[in-house]
Amino acid sequence: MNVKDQYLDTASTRSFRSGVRPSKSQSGFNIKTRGQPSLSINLDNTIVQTIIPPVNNTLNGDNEDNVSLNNFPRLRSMQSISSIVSRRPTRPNTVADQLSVNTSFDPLIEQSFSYSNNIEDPSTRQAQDTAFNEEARKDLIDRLAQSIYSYPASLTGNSYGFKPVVSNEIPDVFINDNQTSPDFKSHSKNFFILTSAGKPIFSMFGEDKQIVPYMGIINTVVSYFQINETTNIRTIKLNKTRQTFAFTNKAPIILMAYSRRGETTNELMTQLDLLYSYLISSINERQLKRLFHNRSNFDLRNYLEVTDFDNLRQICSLLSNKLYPDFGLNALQCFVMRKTERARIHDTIHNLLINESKDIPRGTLLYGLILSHKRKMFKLCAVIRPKGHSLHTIDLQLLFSLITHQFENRDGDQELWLPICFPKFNSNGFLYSYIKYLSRSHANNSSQMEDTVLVLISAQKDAFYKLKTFGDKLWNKLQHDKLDEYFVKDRFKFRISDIQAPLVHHFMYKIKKYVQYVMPEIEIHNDDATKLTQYECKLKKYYGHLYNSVVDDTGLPINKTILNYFHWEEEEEGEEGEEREEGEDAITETQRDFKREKINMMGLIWITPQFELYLICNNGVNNKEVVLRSAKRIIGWCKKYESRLFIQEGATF
Amino acid sequence: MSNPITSIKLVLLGEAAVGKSSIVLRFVSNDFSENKEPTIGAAFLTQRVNINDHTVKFEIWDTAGQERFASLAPMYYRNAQAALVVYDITKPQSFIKARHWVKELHEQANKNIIIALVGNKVDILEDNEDERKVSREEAEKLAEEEDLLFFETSAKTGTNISEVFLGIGEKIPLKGPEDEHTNGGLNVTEDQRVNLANTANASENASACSC
Repeated sequence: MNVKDQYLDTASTRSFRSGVRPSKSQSGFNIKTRGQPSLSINLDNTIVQTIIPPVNNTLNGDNEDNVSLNNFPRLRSMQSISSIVSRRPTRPNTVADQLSVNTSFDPLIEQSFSYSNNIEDPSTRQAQDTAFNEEARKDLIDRLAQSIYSYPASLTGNSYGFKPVVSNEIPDVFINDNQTSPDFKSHSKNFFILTSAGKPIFSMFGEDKQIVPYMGIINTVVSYFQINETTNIRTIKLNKTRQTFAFTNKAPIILMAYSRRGETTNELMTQLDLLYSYLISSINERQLKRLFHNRSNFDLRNYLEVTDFDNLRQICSLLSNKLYPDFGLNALQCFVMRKTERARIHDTIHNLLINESKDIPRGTLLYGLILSHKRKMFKLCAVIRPKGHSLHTIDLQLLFSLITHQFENRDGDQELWLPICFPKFNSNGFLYSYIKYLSRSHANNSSQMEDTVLVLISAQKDAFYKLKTFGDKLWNKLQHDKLDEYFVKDRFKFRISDIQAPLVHHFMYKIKKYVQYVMPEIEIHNDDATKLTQYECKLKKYYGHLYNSVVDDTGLPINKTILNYFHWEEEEEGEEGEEREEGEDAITETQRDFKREKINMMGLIWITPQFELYLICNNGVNNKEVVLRSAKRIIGWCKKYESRLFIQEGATF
Repeated sequence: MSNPITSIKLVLLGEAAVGKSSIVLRFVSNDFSENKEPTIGAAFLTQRVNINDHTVKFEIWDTAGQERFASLAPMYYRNAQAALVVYDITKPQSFIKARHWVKELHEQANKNIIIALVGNKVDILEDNEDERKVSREEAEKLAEEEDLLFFETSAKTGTNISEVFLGIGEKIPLKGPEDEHTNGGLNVTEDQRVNLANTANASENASACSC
């Protein structure tokens, strides 16, 4: 694929300053979001398409803003290009010339790579956009200084010296809604699960006596649409208060999500699907139907156990408060190791499978994984799978959540034998997982533990001893050949500063054919858990907006190939933000930040049939050419190290 | 030369939250944690103990107490030589469940299986004797009728925990030096276990109560 500088977007300088006045309840300040799902380009023949997606009412978290988006004229292809040009009077009038203008930014970039502060080159400066004034340049240089540290050796694992951590002080343009008020209605997000008879099963927040009346209402609403419209209600939206209710009817189970966070119906529905899948993973659909057959009044809570509720709560919290790309991207993260190292591990597994076929007859083992587990997140170290088969990421996420829970405050020496239903594999049957902790080590410079876990999955419920024998042999072999060292310590974790991609704060890169993604390690000074959560929440929202800027109502990208920039900007006249409501310390704190630094955030989303790139820039970056260049550098870097960052084949049998 | 090693396959059964996993944790790691996560499925652990000149290797199946896993239980007790049926002395319901387990084991498990009835959480009585809801006499009566070992334990304080396992170890005929061969590793096959059980002398089943 020939990736040229031909990615344009229509609204580069035209700002939507018209009438964006978020309500005070939303935030104490005015934020303008400029999502420009304006234009997508077919990469192969560079035909400019003018698909402007239907703008969802909750797209940018601000309804009024959407109005302005909707009013934005639908540009035809060539118009859109010329419109950019005409808005920049200093620039020539053709596409080709514009590309040449782009190149004028090169010296700036090159110099910043060479760690030089001296970029006083008059000839290039003359060519700069007039808006690019002295002050902005200084600002840019400062920011570059933050993120241009580059250690090409970092991936080779021998540079544990000084490494500056890129500032994670990106501003929070969103409402701080992590309230811990005892009143469950004050939460900005909640999930409810009930039976079709209206009996409560689970709610993320709220005591029984508080939620029971709501269960009745939810049940009534769902039933009403079934009876009168013979259809299922999907969503109720209150634009004024930005409330969204999403429903999923999986009789005999009803699920509802409530959100005040500006999430789209589609996001909420996929979240509900994960919760339902969890339920099915502990009671499969056939059991569920049997339980409710002739007993529509059955109270499922008698059948579920503490573990299930804990796990549901855990999943809800991942969905609400953590950056959870495994789910968001529908992909898994892979443990970085050298290509040869991974190949040796996979070869060892493969050979053992063949040589020990009398211990473990063909058909016993369905699927196997070696995982690295840290901070409740899992990375794949090795995969053992039959040719041409793989498990759905949702199924694996359910398995991960079970493992996390099972091994919390547990003795690591034990082996587990877990029945689990993989809803995307077969929602009516159980598979059995042999789970063993292989080793445990301290992560670098922190108290965080890194664990290595072996999972072997079989369809036979009495295969435990076979799998155990195989697992023991495998682990002995790996230890004997000293291959275990490759994954007991995360030697190759990288930071954004390891890639020569200036101005980029954070990114996620997914290769579709592997259903795996990669992102820089999220690090917080001193491992402060609260700060980490806040930071992850922030990233989560930025990425959420980015993604929503390019999907249609069904949650699918509007086009096979998309490149889009997204802008979050603080309004100039933010005086109204000064009036703050009492008692909301969180908002006050954020406001203090705003006085320090004006919000001007940019993100980039790039979707092609091969990969997806999501990228968030440092605050104050508004030069799209530079950002695009950085994006390409990231893609180049990921391609270069593809066999390290991703499991390409696994041990297939 | 190392001691002869006998493997004892042991399964824990009982209602949810009576302390099965805690008993195992105390026995295996001499540890206790207050709010343990419930077990899902089953956990497999091993622990070696020296009894007289013998090394006994306990292969322990710590099963989930929850009702929905009950259908899996036969898989764990089918080849077991010993079972701990655990109840919570402060929960009468758990004792009823224990009766059911004893009945099921007698009907379906290995004929020679050694069953120990274990009333857990006696530490609660230290503060308040009124918390006891299952009387010692009632449990002893059941143990006598059904030919069970009987213990009252506390996984929290460690009271009587090792006694339970030692009591079981003593009841199971240990392998003489002539039987000693290569089953020291982890890879004890099913066959060896079954053979071992068959060599067990059925007449050993005295109605013993260690207390």
